[in-house]
Amino acid sequence: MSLLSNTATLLGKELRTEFRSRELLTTTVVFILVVLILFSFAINPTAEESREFGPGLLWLAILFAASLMLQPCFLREQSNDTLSSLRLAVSDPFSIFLAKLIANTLFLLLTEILMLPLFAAFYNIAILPELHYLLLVLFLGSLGVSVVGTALSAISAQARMRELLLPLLLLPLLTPVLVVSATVSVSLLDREPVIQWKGIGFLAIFDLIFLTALWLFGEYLLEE
Amino acid sequence: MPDALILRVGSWAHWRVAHPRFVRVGLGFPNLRPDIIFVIPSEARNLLLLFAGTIEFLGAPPNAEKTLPSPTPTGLRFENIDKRYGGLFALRRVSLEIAPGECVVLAGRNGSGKTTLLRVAARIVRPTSGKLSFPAATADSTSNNRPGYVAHTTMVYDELSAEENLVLFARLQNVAQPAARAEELLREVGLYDRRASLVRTFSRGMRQRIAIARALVHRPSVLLFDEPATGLDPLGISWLAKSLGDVHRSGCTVVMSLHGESEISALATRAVQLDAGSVVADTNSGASLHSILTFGGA
Repeated sequence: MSLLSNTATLLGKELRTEFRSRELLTTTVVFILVVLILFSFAINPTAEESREFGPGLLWLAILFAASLMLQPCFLREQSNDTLSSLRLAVSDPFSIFLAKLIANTLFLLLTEILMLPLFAAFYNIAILPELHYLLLVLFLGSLGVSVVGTALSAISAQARMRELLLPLLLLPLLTPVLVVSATVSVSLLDREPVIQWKGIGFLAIFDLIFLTALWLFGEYLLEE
Repeated sequence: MPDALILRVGSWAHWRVAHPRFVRVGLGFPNLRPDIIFVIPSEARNLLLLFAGTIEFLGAPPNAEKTLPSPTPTGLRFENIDKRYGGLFALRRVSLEIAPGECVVLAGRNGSGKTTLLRVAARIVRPTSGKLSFPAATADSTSNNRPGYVAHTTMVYDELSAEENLVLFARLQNVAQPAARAEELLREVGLYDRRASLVRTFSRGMRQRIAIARALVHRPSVLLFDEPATGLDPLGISWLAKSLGDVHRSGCTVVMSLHGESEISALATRAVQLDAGSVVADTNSGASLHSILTFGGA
């Protein structure tokens, strides 16, 4: 029970500090918006091309934005050595990870939900018919990005060249998530939508594997 | 299940295989070996206990480290502690026994290993080898052995208010009535009027006060201070000396690293000098407090 109560307390802290400063949310929203607009202007796609390439561009933008958003996740715990005080206080260090990855997933999802209408407008894609499945893919994809990103953020925060290290580690590891999420999204936004359950299953298994790995070995990532 | 069934619960550490997420469980009957040994996630062991007639705890029983409200004096025992960073020894075979209720000053030049020793004691840094334990004053003591630690930095969040920080750390440590405890501490450290202010607006002295309040929030029986007087003006040092004296008199074991003699060092009941990661002098071995605090100077 202390894992859940500690996670809830820490999640409350993460949300409070972010909604007070709005640093991560603002940066992520602006970044995704700029990327979508630039792609839209640079390619000027037809309706068919939008359906084919739009979801991929959206996921690429989400991935790059996530690498920006996840960078300060553990880095800002270092300025006052608050990570040490958290480790002293919690009975299970996994609660630190759990709170951070839930917060990161929520921030990513919130950004995506804000961006979806703009994406639909810029790329002239109807998202409403399969919105519930699209939200499921966004959730599973964002969870995968957050789980891997939170773990790598803990590693890179203690390294030299930390600003470069996170994207270098994160992007190759998340290639399967990017490919599958984009493929499933393309099928969902097609003229005749198809739900690729295999892809959705892959995302769920990916999340589960990395979550289990974090549960098993996360503690060691926090050590000095 | 028959009454004679024995469930033996041991931690991985007990079985010399280390992973905190799993326990090794043995099922067996009296005088009958070998047991059936299997491995389960540690969270699942309470479920198994329901089916066992007899239970033997081979390692620490479940929930042995629960936070408890009132501090009972607890000591500290370092046994052959080594800490290496790559090829560099930060601590080298440190063996030190600190009795419950002592107020110990760690002295030594920069880089002598004081901070590392305190961080090992706080269980923030895992030693490369050796053992750290918290022997309680009495055999049946149920004291809280999670130490309070005040470092060079405040270890609190700048973006939260003083009150929010204390309530956060009180909740994380299962302190009863976290808001009331936070208010009590804010009054004790003289920050009650600034309880709603963000910590980033605090002066150095106020930051040190909130750092001490955070360390005390769970009523620890061991308090560790890393150069607590750094950056404080004479008034701040007097306040700190008085607060430390109060904490020590309440039964806390206090271990602090200091440079030179001061109002704070006057509280010490013992001093230990470190050099290059090893203990080189101890008042318990006949060295004088003055010579240790001045690194052997006049």
